[in-house]
Amino acid sequence: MGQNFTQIQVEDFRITEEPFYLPIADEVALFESAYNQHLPVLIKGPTGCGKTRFVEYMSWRLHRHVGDRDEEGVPLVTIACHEDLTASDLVGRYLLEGEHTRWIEGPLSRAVKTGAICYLDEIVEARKDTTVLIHPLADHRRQLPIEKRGELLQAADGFLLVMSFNPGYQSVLKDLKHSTRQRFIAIEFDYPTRVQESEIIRMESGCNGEIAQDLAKLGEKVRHLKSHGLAEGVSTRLLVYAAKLIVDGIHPLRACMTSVVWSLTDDEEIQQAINEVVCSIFEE
Amino acid sequence: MNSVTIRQLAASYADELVELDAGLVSVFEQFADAIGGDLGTDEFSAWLGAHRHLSRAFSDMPEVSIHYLLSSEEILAVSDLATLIGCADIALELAHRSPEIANAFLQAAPSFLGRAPSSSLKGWADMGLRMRTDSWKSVALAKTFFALSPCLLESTSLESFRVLAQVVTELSRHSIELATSCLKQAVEIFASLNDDVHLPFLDLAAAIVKSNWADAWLYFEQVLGKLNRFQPSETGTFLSLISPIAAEGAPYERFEEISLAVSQFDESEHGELARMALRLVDISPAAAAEFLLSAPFLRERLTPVLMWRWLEMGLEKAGDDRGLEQNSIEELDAYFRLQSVTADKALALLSGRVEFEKSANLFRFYGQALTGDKVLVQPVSHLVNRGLGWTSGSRATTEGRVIFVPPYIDLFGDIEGNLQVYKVCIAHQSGRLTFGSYDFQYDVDGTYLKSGISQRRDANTEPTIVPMQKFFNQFQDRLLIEGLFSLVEDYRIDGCVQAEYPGLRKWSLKAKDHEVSQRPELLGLGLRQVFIENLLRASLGHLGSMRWPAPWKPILESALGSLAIAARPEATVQDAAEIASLLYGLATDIPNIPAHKIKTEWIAIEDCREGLQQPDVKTLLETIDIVGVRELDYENPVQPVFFGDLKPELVQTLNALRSGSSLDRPTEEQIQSMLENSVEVEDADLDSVAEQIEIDFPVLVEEEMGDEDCTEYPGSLDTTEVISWSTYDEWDFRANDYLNDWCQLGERNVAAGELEYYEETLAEYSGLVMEVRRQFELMRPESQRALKDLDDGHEIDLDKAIQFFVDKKAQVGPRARFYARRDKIERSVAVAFLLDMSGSTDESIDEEGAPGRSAPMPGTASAAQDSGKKIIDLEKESMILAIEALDAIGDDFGIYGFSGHGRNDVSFHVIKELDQVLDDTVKKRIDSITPLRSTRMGPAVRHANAKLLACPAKVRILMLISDGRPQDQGYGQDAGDQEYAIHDTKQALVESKQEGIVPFLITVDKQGHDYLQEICGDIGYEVIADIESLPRRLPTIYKYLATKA
Repeated sequence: MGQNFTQIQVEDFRITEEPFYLPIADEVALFESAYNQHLPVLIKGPTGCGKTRFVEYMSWRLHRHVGDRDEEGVPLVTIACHEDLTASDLVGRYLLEGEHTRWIEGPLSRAVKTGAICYLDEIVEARKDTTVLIHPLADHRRQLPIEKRGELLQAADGFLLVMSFNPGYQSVLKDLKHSTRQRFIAIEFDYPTRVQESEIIRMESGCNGEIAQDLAKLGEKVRHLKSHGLAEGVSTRLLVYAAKLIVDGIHPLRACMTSVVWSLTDDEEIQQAINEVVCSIFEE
Repeated sequence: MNSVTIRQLAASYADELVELDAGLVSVFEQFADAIGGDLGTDEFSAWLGAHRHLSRAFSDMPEVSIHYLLSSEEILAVSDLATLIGCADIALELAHRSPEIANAFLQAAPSFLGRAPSSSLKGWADMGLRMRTDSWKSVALAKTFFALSPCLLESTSLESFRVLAQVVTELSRHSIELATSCLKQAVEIFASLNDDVHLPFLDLAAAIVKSNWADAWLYFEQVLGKLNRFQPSETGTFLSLISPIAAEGAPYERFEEISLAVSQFDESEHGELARMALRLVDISPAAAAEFLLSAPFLRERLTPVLMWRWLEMGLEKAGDDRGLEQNSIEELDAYFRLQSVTADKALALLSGRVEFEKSANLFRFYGQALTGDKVLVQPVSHLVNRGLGWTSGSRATTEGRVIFVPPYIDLFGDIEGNLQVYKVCIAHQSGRLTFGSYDFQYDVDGTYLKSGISQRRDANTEPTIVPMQKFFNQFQDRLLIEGLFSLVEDYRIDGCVQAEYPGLRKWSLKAKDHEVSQRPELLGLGLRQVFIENLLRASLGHLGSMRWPAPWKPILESALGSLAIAARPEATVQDAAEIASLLYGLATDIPNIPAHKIKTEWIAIEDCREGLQQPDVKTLLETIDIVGVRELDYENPVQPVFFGDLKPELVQTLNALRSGSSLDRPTEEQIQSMLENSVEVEDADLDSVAEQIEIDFPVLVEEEMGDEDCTEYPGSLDTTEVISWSTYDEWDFRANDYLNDWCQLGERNVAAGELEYYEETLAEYSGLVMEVRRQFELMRPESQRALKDLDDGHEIDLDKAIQFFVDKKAQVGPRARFYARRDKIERSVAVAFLLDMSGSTDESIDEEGAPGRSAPMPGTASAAQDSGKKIIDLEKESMILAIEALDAIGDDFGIYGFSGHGRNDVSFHVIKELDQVLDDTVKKRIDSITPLRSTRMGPAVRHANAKLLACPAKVRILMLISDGRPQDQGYGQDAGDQEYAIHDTKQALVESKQEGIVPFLITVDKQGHDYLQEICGDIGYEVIADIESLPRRLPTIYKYLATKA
């Protein structure tokens, strides 16, 4: 059995091929400027509108030589935040090895050392006490204290803290603390326009222009239901999924049913309404 | 010789009479000759004998024998002597009871014998006699009976006559006046009704007298008017149908209602309807009645064949036809009353009709998705009710912000098809809004046509308020230009909608096919109307159905060429206006003469070339001789249902009112002058429309904008208070089924009162507040709980690890438990408090108090009765304590109140929503909680369930606090029926449980144990006998529930 997976250290991950990204406004220039000025970036926007893809694209774009490794792009360390994410998970912890302990560095420490872009996805999901940990990193100090070892890490030059959050469905309890959010410049993302979105769908899925246009139209219509029954509009990602299924031979109605209607909501009435919109756009 | 003997006999009898009563002799002598002339001696002697009997028996009352004398000749004229003697015998018998009755009998006897056999004489007399009781009124009744008998027999059979007498006798036992009136009325009734209806009429009368005698007069008085409602040959059948229903105790109104229901049917269907009801009447007369009452509703949705199917489905549900259990009978009645879910389901299965109300949310979401913004979708009746100038209650339309659709669609036999037509309707109206039907600007070029492409006549410079008005003003014939503009614009919009929603094409085509099949016959119209109608058909994609005089083909071809431009992908409303103006130029030249008078070949036009051609219409028209043919009045063709009314002028005006600042807002006078010229408002009072638009509309717009989730179009109902209406089923335990959409529940926000109340209550109970808060804080979990001594975990506890190594070195057999973990403990509880706000909570707390009353707690209110507190006050105080406690623990809690008045107005008062932050508004609202009306618990519990389910908590608790048993108008068969309300409440609580909610019921009614046991079953409840302890008890109960759950 051949080994058919790759395993690399988290700080070695680089985007080596240009990811498809269609700039919507001046976000690329803004990010580049922030990177150059060491300003941490907060990316706001609804689910599936391209936040993660943008970070990937930027990491590829910011061709930098960091440390000894002469690779393409800036390393990208992505940390998906969740409720149980502790400070140890980010910074590092001691493990037992034989009769000794061994220090295992967390992904944040590694990113700080290697000068990577550290992308904290869905930061509000993390507990507030964890979030406070990044404060010294996110201001002029650019330092990460490692309490357990009594050390202080000064970030490498290429390091940039980026975090994303979706203001849409967060309750008051899950809002960002002001002390946190006021350390970042914020770039707001929204769903692309119909024309842009159909281009994205076409490029991502390889479907024909007509299907892409219809799906983008569907996206626009379904998003009209946001806050009128739907908590979130349909993401571009889901539309791309639908397009991929269609390209693979699934009937458009079925593809939209599985990737849009059922994914979006469990409320039968809204499901039916969305399905009626799908049936209005795609022919049987 | 013979005569001599008779004369002698007479003379001798006269002598006899002198001794008895001298006055009698002269009367006798007056008649003796005439009678004697017809009789033999023996016979005469027998006649005399009979008179002797009468006169001797009643020597003090000679009237009886005089009447005998008076009637004798007439009786002999229609009968024989034996009958006459028989009359005398009967009269004698009657006179013993009442000489007056005997007189009346003798008086009426000749006429009676003229219409009935003499053998019926005795029976007849008995009928009259039976009416007599001890009172003088009854004697009068019997006299009336004898007097009217001949008249009655003139128009009815002896058999009916006998039944009538029975009915009247029976009725006279209750009221002699009523009986007399009915008897008199019967004369007219019999004379007016067909013979075959008499007996059924009387059967029903008998049934009414038996079950509701007081209604009998209403029946006799009104029956003729009501029976006209039935098809004459079926009248008897319907009466026979209703008899058993009346016999079961149904009041007269039921007959009235049934006849009204039947009258809504076409007369040709009455027979079929009667047969359907007959199928039911033996099983359950009540079900038959319910069926007849539901029949018009059913007929609107089902064909007669399908009605039979629906009926049989109802019978199948109830099981075997005969010998049904009482329960099944009630189920059956509910089914035919259309008050069971089963009935609804069966109806939905058979009927293809789609009703807006049943899928209102679906259509709303659909319209919203297509249109965006805050568009609403509502039935068109809401718009008509507002009096803004829309009058058609069946065609889709929009007024710029709301999409209005027909109340139901029944174009096709299946639900799917009709649902799709609804979508076509909504998509088209949405298209008008999104593709700019109302964005017309004056003197702006279209994509394809330049403004003013054709020479406009009569350039009009009157001041106008909207561009559409200015455009229309340029044309002399407003009706024609508006009709053309609607046609072209709808064609353009249809094109846009088809391109945007290809999936709708199939159904749109079907709807159009159906529409074209319903269009009027072309030859019945005027020629100009034919021209426009042809254009409309072309716009529906049915070129093949057009017909046009062959020599004038170029005219229509040119029109079709222009029309086709509207279908180009980039065409705008400006293009549509220009096209309309071009078509106007063609149409005005075409005379509106009757099409059938044009004697030429009429051809179909199968294809057309897009483009602008200008034929010489006048020269072409001269090719056929139409001189001297009179023109018809012109009317625009009716737009298809799914396109509906466009009314661009009105909508532009409304939009101007919506967006305009107060300065450039049109005034009422301006609006009125616009309406006067416009043809968009028909059959309506222009003044009131203008007033509605100018004065009421802006207010309504503000309401619209302010309320995001406004589901009810403002103005149609009292929306000043109600935020939203919901409908809930109710459980009918007798029918063992839900009553579909039975209760209307209006959600209202409680008005804010004073904050002082809240603060004062806190101060009053300060000791208790502290205590309760402390207790609750104990329940509050640590957000992080550190767990140590674990075999595995996130962190190493270094102290333990060192200990481990030390132990290991010392060889004391350590266990490797030096890991630690932090567990997040989440408390996720939502509780909804549902307070009884019925009128009874206004009662002061019982002076006597409960036996178990505890002494007032130090620091709490003193004995409540001293302060004159009411039940509601304690409910409010408990809430304040609970709020304080819950705020400490951080659970989501909602506070709601309920009351109601009948099933259509259950009020659900929001004091605090589950996800609402506890702010001053909430605190102020508590002050305003006041006792209102009745206690309809079921729908309130169901609504609270819905609210809890929408809350993302893991544990959901519903606490119902009440002061007594549930009761409301119509919450049960009658005021005394408590079973129904209890069962419905129980069912609602069972629903809570089934949905994972923990229901708990608290009552302060000391008799609560009686019914709570029944309501609750295995659901928790508590009777707080000592009402004052409610504020203290409530937090304890909550704590118990939240921990247990």
